[in-house]
Amino acid sequence: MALALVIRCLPRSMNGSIRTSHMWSKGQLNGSIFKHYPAAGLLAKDTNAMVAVAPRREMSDGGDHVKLWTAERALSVGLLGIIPAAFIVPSPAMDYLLAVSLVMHCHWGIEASVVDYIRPAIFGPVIPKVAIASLYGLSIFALGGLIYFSYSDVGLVNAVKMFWKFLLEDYSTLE
Amino acid sequence: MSIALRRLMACPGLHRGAFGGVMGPQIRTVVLRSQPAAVKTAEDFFEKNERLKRPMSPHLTIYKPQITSMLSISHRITGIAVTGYVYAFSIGMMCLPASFPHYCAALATASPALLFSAKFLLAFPFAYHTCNGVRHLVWDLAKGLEISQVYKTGYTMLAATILLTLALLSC
Repeated sequence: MALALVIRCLPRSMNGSIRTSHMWSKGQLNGSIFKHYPAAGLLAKDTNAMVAVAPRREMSDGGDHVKLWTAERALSVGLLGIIPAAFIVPSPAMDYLLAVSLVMHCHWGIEASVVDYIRPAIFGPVIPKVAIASLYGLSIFALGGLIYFSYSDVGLVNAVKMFWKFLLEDYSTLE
Repeated sequence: MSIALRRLMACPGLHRGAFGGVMGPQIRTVVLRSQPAAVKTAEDFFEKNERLKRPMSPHLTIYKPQITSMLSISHRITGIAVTGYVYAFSIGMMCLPASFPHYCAALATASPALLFSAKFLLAFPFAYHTCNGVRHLVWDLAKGLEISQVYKTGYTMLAATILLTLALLSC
């Protein structure tokens, strides 16, 4: 939820139903200043309720998460096919495709971990943003590095095959 | 609640000789008036607990480790491990001066135990993350979410991981 609503109901008379519900966002470990506004039509009309609105303490962008989620799952399924295919039918195009899909999958996975653990409620407003920006930088460098590796070196698939030959063949005769 | 109180006060003699008469006749009129509570903007729940320096309730330290949570966190840990390998390799090879075959030949001089350990440390997290990843994708299709199925697929996944690791190590 983008905003955490803490509803403190102040009933006019004790006859009415007293409904006190507290909802606060999961990230709220530190205290925060709650601003109070009249409910004004948000609640049942026979309460003089005040609504306390907490400032945002999450990293959520408030948008539609569904497209990103679906893209993540589609990429995971794709990767299940691309990784064996890259080793069975190697080619420069497969190397580039593997590089892009692998780095994207890694980036989304680490981003989920960073968002889960490096939260504004614990680390304040600056450090989570720095962490996400650093992750973007690392992912861009990693993708660039893998593309460069495929372009001017043997490529990821060949590199793994070469390394894997250790202990199984005479590894002094590496190509 | 105020209706009940008014009824109580309306009953004659209820407060005379109450408590078995030991207190004697007491006539006292009590008036209860309800008032709206004062809106406290000064301090909220978390600020108050911080001010009183109260410790937080334990959570991770007391929750019993179960196969559900352990497999889940292992999925994340193996994912971070494989990402670490990929990123370190790609950024490292971009920064290092020589080409990969040069470094591969240099690595060949390491002891077989070290090389086998390296292969295992590469193969196992990848195998685990792949097998558990399939399990996650099945969950994303809203299948296998009953707890008995979670346990069954969990054990199946562990067996598949071991088999895949052995297969990768032997090819």
